[in-house]
Amino acid sequence: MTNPHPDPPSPDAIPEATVSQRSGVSIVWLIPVIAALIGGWLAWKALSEQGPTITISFKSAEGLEAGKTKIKYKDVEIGQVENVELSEDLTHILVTAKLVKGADEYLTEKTRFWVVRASVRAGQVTGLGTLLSGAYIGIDPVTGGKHVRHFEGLETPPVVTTGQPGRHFVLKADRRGSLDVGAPVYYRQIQVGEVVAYDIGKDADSIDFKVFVHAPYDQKVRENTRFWDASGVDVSLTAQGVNVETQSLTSILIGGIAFGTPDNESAGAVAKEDQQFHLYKNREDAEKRRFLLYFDGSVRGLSAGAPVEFRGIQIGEVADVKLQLNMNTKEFQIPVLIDIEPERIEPAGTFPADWEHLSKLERQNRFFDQLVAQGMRAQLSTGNLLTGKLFVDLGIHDKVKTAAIDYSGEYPVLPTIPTPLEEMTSRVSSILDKLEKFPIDRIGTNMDKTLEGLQLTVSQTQKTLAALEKTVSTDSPLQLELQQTLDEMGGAARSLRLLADYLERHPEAILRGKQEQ
Amino acid sequence: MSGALQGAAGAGLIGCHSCNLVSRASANHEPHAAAVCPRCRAPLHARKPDSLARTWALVIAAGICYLPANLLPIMKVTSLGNAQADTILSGVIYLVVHGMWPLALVVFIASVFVPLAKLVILVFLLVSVQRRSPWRPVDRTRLYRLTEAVGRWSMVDIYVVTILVALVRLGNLASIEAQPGAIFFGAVVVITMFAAMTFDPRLIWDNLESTHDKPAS
Repeated sequence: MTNPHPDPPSPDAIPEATVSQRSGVSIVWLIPVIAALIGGWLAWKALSEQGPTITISFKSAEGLEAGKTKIKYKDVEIGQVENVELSEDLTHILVTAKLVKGADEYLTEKTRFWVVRASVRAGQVTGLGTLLSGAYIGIDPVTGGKHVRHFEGLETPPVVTTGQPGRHFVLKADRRGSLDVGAPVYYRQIQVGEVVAYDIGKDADSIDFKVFVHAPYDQKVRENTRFWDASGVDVSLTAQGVNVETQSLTSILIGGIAFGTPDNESAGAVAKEDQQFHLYKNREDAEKRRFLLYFDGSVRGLSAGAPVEFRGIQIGEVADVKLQLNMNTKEFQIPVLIDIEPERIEPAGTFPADWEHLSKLERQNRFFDQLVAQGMRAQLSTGNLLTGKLFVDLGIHDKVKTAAIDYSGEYPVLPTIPTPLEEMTSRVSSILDKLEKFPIDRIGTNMDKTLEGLQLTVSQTQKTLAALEKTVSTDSPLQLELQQTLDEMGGAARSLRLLADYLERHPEAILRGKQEQ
Repeated sequence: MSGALQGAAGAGLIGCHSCNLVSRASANHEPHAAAVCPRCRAPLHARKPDSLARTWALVIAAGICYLPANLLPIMKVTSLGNAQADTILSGVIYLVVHGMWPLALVVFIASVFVPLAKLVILVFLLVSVQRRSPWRPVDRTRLYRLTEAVGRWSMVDIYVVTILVALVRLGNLASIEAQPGAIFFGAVVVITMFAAMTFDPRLIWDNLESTHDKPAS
């Protein structure tokens, strides 16, 4: 009987294992070494990429979430909000955020932070992406300056960030109108900038708009550039029809500012950053020329808005009337500012050849110089006899002293002559003086005497007429004699007719005499 | 030592792992010198070779990997342009905050507690074996078996991440990406499994057996 499983062999029968020597450190230790290396590298990387931690204060934490909200610059994530908490006095919130390494350089006191949310304003919709992804914090990094770690967040995103090339300008206006932050700035109907901010001016009697004009269009803003409010639609009705002027649909809705610059170098140097300009109410205003008039007499009845006419055609209006006491001469003078629209005077014929190279402004100056040389003077005239309203009349006058426009002051000064009313008053008074001297009494006595003489004459005439009447009455001898005479004459006439008849029938009777039939 | 309780090693016998041939340990009584099976020429060893050293190495490696596994995000969820990276613990906290306690518990146990427990148990076993502690060998063996059995379940996390990454690819609407944390977490799970495998539970008993048989070191 064979047993397939043999009995365990005796220990002696079991073959002995061969022995080979092995030594050294086990290779398995490589695993923890590699793990340690990788872990160490990760730790080093994490530590070396540790960026600065900053705090930003905002009024509201709307849309901000700790651990989720990102800080982005040009849509690149450069940090993350780690904590959002209320300030101790509960007036604002404090956002703690960790930025990436290398951000230190940009964390200066001029750096601005704001929350980017979806917003519809200034005719554009921004931040639509944040509707889905949630708000994020935007940053406008500025290098240079004191490094800080705490920032005051802006409540609204800045219209222009620091990195953008261009220039800021300040526009002074009387009123805000419909202009808002973000309103476009147009140059030849192309949007070249935005309104960045507006504020009440330092002296609180004007509104200061801060506008930003992007490069390269900022070069178009010269010292003589004029800005005007291009909001809404400018409709003017003229003999040529209806003229509608607007910059764009956007400017109708949200307002806008446009500017114009004379074409050539006479526009002046390129305007400097933050240079101040006046913001005109509209384009027409912007193109008006402002002149200063000095009147000595009363300007009662003259008010701002009164027309300035040239031979009965309105070419401008009075902008302002003031009263000045000249401290040098101790005399009162009344400066009147007028706005003239030179466009109202259409040039006909050709300009002198040497005017060709001149700018529009210089041409206008020459034009006015010439007019003044010809005798153009400003004068106050009565527009309405009932109300006594005055207007400024520009007219060419003969026999005036030569004068010229004085360009030395802020505004050119046009020469003036006294009002016609003043002239008239003086003439009338002189006439009255003469009237007073007239000898009315003596004339009266003389007149009396004359009248007495006249009466005598009349009675004598009456007598004469009565005598005449007697002479020619029906029973007067004159009448009878006259009757007889007439009868005689009648008889004479009859015999003459008979003679004439006979002669007609017998013409030979003249020669032969009457012949018996 | 009581002669009644003697293992194969104590009897100077070694079983071949490859062909199961039982051979006598070499005469020089060095069971850890590389013996070769006389039949199939496979290496012979009475205990897993370098068991303690290898287990130590793997346990330390797993311990090192455990830190980034928990500190780094394992998964980044991008939905509607809003990206959010989550670590294991932040995921657990998210679940707790949203009231999903059972799920949070499952994730916490499978992904945080179990790997850590495995590491602690292995360290405990290694230390106790090295110190030749005679303390509760049966319980320690049970702990070892438990460690070996439960190890693979930690991979659930990795599977979830893998499946989500593959499934949620909706472009900008939503997408999920695996993050470095997942790699380290996977490494922790795999390395601890290997560590459990390299540990030889017989060493627990060797300490009880004899003083003339040196435990593996």
